Order: sequence, then structure tokens, then C-alpha cells
Amino acid sequence: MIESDWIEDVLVLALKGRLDSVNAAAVEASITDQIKQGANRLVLDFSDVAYVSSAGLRVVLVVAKRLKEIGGRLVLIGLTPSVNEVFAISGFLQILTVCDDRETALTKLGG
Amino acid sequence: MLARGIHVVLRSDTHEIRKLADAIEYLADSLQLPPPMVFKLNLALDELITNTIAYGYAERKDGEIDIEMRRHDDRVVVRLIDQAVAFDPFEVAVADTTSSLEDRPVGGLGIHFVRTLIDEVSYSRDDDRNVITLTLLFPTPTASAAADA
Repeated sequence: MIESDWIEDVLVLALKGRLDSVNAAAVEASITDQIKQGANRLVLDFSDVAYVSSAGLRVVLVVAKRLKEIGGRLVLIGLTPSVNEVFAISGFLQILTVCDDRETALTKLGG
Repeated sequence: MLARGIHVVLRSDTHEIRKLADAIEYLADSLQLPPPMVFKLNLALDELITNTIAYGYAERKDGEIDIEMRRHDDRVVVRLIDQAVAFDPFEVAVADTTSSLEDRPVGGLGIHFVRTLIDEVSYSRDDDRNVITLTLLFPTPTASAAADA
């Protein structure tokens, strides 16, 4: 479900499939666990995510808030058009950092 | 012969959401719905049904949600019927989509999606049933001709 990859001290998490009410709680637990273990610069890669519902957006918001509290940073990459639309109508594109690809995200995070 | 409609009954269990996605896929194929309509139907129904399961049926797993989707000339009409506690989802307050990250409330976006994506929505309480009707219009001929060009 989640593929993780450390690039220096940036943690890249590639999500797969759907992010909805069926798996949102598990995905949230897994990501917050990584944050508890010290990850504070995070890239969430949505390239292989075809569908996100409000339950999935909730996870992204919780993670973004948590990272903000601890002085960490979050960058999203690879939003497919329909996933991007969900973020747009939620007004999330104004409060989150979105980049096209991993390289740009890593530059942004200074990794 | 293409189906003009579909009728699905889901149990009030979150995992049934995936069955919904399959049913919409099937309908999309047989009615030749364009991908943006499939996306809108999927998301709107997911949000409404997730709410019904979590709040209406309060996580009880033996409730039922009846879904009828039917194609008319220029529209798809979906009726969602459940026997959960009376609840009009369209009475909830408008979601906050503008405050800062720190102040942004977690949750409340599901109904916002339904209102934003679906052309017409209505709710009625019919005896002991909640009945939600969603109408989604096909893209106008000019728009789809332009998209096909």
C-alpha cells in the first residue's frame, strides 16, 4: 500500500491504489508512526493513486498539521487530474505545497 | 442490448464502498459515461454512503443502502435509500475551504464535494426511509463534440 524510500533525511512515501474510507485510518496510522519515529520532511507521492475521497484528504490534512506543529515540511507530488480536482475543490491547493516530481520536491525540501 | 440502469444493495459496512466502485464501473461501461461523470458519481456516492454507514447506521453492519442508477436522455439519476435515522446531508453547514492550514477544520468536506460536483441534489424523508436523489447531466453536445475533436 505504501512504499517508503529515504533520500538523505527526506522520507518519500509512494501511495498506491485508492485512498478512501476503507484504508484511510491505516494509512494515517502508518504515516504518523513514521513522523513519531523522527521523519519530519516528507514527500507524499500520489502518482499511483487513482482515487481520493474526503477520508483520504483528511489524512493529508492531519499529516500536514502535525508536520507544521513540529516544524517539519510536507510536499505532495504526482497528483493525477481527478485527484488534483479533489484537492482543488477542497481549497487544499492553497494550503499545501504541490510539485510536479520528486526532484523538484527534494530541492524544495533542501534534501 | 445495453443496460439503461442498475440496482445495487450495499450492506452498511465501509468495505462495501469498493463494491460501489465496481457497480459504477459497470454502469459506466454499459451506458458509455464519460470519465469525468464516472469520477463525479464515484466520489459523490462514496461520500454519501460513507456518511450513512458511519453516522446514520452508527457502524451497525446489518443496515442496507439501496442504490438505483438510471440513464435518461441527457442525465443520470441516482436514488439512494436507507432506513437509518432521519438525516438530511444537505442541511449541514458549508465547509470551510479557505482558512489557513493551522485553522482548517479536519472533516466536513464530503458533502461539499457532493454539492460541488452534482448538478441537482435533493433529500426527502419517506416514512422511515431517507431518500437522496442526485441528478448528473451529460456534458452538452457542443462541449462533448469539442472534446472529441
